[in-house]
Amino acid sequence: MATLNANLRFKADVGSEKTAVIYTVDKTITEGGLQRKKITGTSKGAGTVIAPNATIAAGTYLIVRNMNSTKGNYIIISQNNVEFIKLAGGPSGSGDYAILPLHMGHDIIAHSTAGTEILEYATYEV
Amino acid sequence: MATLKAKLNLTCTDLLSDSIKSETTNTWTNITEGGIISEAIVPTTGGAAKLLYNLADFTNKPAYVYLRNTDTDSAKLIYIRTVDPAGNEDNFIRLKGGEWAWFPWGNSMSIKVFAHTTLTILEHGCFSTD
Repeated sequence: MATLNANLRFKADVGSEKTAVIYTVDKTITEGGLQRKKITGTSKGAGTVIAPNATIAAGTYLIVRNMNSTKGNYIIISQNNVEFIKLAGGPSGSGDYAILPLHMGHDIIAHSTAGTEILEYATYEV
Repeated sequence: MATLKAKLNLTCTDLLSDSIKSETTNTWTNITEGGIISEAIVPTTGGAAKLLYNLADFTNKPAYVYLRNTDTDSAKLIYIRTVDPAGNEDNFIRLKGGEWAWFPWGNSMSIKVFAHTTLTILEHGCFSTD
């Protein structure tokens, strides 16, 4: 057993009152790791399976981050032909990221705009 | 225009031979719409799931979604569903009590929600540009 600590802070001044949120979660995990992979497929059908339904349990945390430096070079995450996350690139490693506990039921697939984008990703099974 | 800043820190010191530590900050300076609300989720089946964010309201807008199950009981699950333009629905996030999620919305589907136990509270927000 090991512990994954995830801490999310976000601030917004979109309203009359500023919003500031800090949430931390500690999860006991049994499997996981952080890796990078070039996402060469430029369509869902040619995408890379980053979380196979056959081996990933419901509730597993998925963390994804686009390492590309160009904003318009997206990595798209989909399941069952539905694109639900669209990660823009960003300079100096500031590309979009996402963190979510997966429901599962389908393979989770990544494809990219140019076929050269690097995805940093992890699945942590709780 | 408003600014949204989101920072994620991940640490894990005892899973692998080496520790994992990752820190990412995203800043958007062109946010025009958004906010966070708490809402009691009434439906308890996928078929009755409530529409949370409608694709039609966010087409071609970069949007970032925040979700948190505020319940302290981890057994009180909240399910987030995708709805594609043809109306096909699928679960894609399962939030136990206390869990949260953050993601840039794919803008190709609407988002619905239902709960394992009626009246479980979901805190949620969506930040976007015009």
